[in-house]
Amino acid sequence: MATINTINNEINIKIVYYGPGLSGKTTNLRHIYQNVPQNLVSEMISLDTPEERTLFFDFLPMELGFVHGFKIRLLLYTVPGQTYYESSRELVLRNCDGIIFVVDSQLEQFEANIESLASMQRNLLAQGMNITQIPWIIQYNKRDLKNILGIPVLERKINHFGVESFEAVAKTGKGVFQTIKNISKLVIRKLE
Amino acid sequence: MEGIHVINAKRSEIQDVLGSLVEKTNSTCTVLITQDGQIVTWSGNCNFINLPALGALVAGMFSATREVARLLGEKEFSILFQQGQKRNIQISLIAKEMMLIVVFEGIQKTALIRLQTQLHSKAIRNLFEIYQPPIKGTGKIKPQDQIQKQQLPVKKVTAAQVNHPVQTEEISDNKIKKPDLEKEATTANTTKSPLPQKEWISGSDETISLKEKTSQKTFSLTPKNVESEITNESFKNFAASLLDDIFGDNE
Repeated sequence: MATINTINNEINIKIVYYGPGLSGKTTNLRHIYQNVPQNLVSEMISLDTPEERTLFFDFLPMELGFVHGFKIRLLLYTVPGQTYYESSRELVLRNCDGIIFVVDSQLEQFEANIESLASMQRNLLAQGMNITQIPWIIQYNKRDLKNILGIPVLERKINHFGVESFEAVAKTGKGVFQTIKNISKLVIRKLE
Repeated sequence: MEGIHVINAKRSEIQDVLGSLVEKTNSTCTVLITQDGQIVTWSGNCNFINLPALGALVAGMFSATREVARLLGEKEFSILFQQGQKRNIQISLIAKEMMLIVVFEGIQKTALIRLQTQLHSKAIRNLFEIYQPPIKGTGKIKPQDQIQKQQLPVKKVTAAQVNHPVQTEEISDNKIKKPDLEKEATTANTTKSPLPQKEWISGSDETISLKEKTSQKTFSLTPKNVESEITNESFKNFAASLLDDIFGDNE
């Protein structure tokens, strides 16, 4: 849920990138960091291993602007994809407003996507949140690779909830802005 | 889950308490954050710190150490301390939803920092109201609301009382013992309603035009309170237009 801080006049909206390991969550965040006006972002925090696997999370705070003296800020997080970092994922999901589920489109990663989606549902439930209540969308990433599943197949096998979905190639930036823009709008629309 | 989480307290009061902690411990700064890492407010010299990053990282540290605590048969650790060559940091879990960070120089002050943090934590707890409205349509209070309401204080401890800790109320997690306070301190104790007193900056109903920094757009409205404000269609449309400006054609 959006957090309004009346002490510092801020409205914070927390968006989380969720998905299996190496699906491109950090790449999404890095593209945003490198391509939005630099006055809107301060520093991207990446807690990763020497192999560039996310250890805790990546974090990118981003200022959208001011409305009526209140600073609107997007807090963008990624979760560590590897299955053994369950507790980090729980922390990152805490009080989140919206989720981008990043799917690795490669055939050999299909099971990892399914397992990650199940883990997302589990972790949301652990926070008292329901996947049908929180705004979330799907990003089908790595669409430039050869051994990938078709969108109709992915939609049928993964998008059981019929949420909005977007194709992307995060390493070139294709679809990255579209995805973050749409989830942010969805979150804002659902504030009530 | 599409709700709003309001962190509400009077800026001057909370600043007084944090400022008092900085002064009494001669620390560099104090930062109050939520348990998921969002900055609530701060006092002292924080100019050299990236505060949003600090909040997120401290929340991550606490999450990791909670797992360590569990391995040792503890529910969680309530204090973390990190020692540097010049600067040190103490992080205290002061309520279920709040953590207090103290950045200071001089390792010999550790005990003083710990004592004063404990004393000031009581005052901070009592200045805050954290309110999460029930999910619309269900009419039910979410479990976390109930937890927070149980933890909400009904009495204030003022900054003045922090300066005289002998007179400060003894507050346990579940029960409040009323001390023999002086008249003026008793007057300051007021029972709070379960919902926050939402204030719109100056409390004014006047229409105000604001110029947004990056897109040079203006947005005018007449706020009654901040919660109704951000659920307002005009606000949503304006926020959406900011997103279009930032992400629109920049693929």
